[in-house]
Amino acid sequence: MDFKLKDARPIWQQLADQMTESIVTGEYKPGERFPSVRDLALQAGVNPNTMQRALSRLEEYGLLVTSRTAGRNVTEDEETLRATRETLAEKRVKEYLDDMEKLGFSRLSAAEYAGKIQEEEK
Amino acid sequence: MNSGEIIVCSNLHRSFGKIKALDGVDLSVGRGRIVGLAAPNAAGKTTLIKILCGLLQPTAGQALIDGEQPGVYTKSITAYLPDRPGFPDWMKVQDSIDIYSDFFSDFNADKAGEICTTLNLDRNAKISTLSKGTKEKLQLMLVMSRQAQLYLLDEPLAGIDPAARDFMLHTIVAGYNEAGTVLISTHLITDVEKLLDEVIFMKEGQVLLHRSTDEIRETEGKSIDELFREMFRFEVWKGEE
Amino acid sequence: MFGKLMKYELRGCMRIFLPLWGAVLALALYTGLTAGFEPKVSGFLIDLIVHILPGIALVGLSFGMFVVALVLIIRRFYSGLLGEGGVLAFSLPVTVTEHIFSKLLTALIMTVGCVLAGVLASVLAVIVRGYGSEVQSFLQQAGRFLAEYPKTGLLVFEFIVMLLLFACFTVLRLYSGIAVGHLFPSHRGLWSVAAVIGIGWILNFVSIGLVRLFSRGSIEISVNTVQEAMAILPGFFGGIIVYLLVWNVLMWLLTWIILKKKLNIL
Repeated sequence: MDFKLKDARPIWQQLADQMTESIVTGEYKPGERFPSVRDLALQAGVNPNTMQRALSRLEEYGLLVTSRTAGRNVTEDEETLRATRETLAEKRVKEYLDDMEKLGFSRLSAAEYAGKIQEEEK
Repeated sequence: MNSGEIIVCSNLHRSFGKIKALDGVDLSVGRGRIVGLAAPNAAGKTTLIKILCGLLQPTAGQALIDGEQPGVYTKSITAYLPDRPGFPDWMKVQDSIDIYSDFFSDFNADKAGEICTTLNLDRNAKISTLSKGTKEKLQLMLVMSRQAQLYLLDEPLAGIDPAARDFMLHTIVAGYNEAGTVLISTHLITDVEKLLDEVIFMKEGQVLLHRSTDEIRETEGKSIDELFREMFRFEVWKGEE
Repeated sequence: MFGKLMKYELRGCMRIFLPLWGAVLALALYTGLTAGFEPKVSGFLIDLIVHILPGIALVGLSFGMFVVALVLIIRRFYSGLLGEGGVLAFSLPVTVTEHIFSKLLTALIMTVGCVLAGVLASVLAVIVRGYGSEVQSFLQQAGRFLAEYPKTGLLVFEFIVMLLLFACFTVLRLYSGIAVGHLFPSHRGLWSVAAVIGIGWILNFVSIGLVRLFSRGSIEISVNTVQEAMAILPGFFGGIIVYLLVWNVLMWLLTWIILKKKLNIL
């Protein structure tokens, strides 16, 4: 996994966001074994404590399940994956609307604008 | 044994003639943490680390490691990376490995072979013939091959190129004992920022700040490097006057 | 841990001394064997190569090995323990006592080794020159002397102890001087030399004072016969031994306290 830790938020939050995304986008398939804390920490160049904290967040959200053999697997629960995907989508759309507002579009016309672009792309 | 703080310093002073290298340091660091000791040059980082290692004696105050003053016991649980490689001229690569495995019972001898293969070293090569970068890597790998309670790394990333820096960081994270604490001193906080649980800023021989990095990012909304630059900007101006 | 320290100390020194001692013995043997050898072609050059150069080399090496020993004793303490090597040395889980004692013991082993190599080389040179019988008769005479004056054995023993203690003191004096010098932030070498000289002054001052103190009691000592000498000397030597012991202890303590309480590795 390719981690990018750029902004000023706590590192573990950035890690959790990026791992959530890699699960939702299918980089890690449902039921697949997730890499170990130390491996992930090494990949991201962070401290295992930090990675542990990020993974706990993913477990809390039900995206990762700890199996009996002391490893972590990606959840197979479609509902959780769908809900997470929707949460992310909602967040992205809101960000879009906020940005458009800054450019002088009303939120409604911003939504219409998105539809228009999509029509043109066809 | 594994309870309480690993490092406790109280009112630690050390002067060299008129220069006060440490001017009342109070500090306690817990276990299982990676801690950055960040400060501009000559703020007392190396002096503090050397006192913790038992290489220097404080002028006043005391430093305790695992509840004991620096001595045989604390040295047996502390893995120290000096600010410059300190192998005698006559030593071969094998000698340096032998010394670690002879004197430190927590040294993982299996890693000796790994060190030589990774660095592509001939065991019979004299250390003095190795390049500066290779010497630094060898020493860090030896230090990180111990399962220590406390790792004291004095400027492991000073003056090295980005590729070597990644190697060093990888060696630290891959090697350290997770129950132990790693103290990394640096004057360039960006290099190690991602690794840290906690950060200590020092200035003119005193501890300016000691906080969790998550907390700094949450409450200040800044990266540690940004905060560091802000707090020490005055230092730069002062230098330019 | 002490054994492990000694392993590295001895390895470091014997790397240099075993070949050196070997060379001295080999040269002694060679010069002895070729002493009476007259090459068929004579001439200064031949003489130079066969006799003179090896002779000079032998004399040079015999003195040289003591100089090397001295340099090594100083260097292994000055830079090996309190200089650049100190960072590694004092990171090891080893007591200060073990550090000093391993250096001291190695220094004594080197010194005694050099003396033995010198004595052995001389004996070897004499024997191979065909003076074996003279050596034998010397030993016989010594044996007779020992039988006549039984205290000779004690005297020889005391004398050897004195020499050892003196060597030990010389080394410890260097160590404590270097230890004092290392307390300074810069010019440590110069301060070390000054401290070694200073300790010498104190030693002289105290010794002369003690001699004056005793002579004021106007003890008349007159020694005319061997018997009289034999009666007095063991006690006299014993006194010197005790005196040397005191100085050894003082030098040890000075070094130990500085390394334990004031260590200053930069």
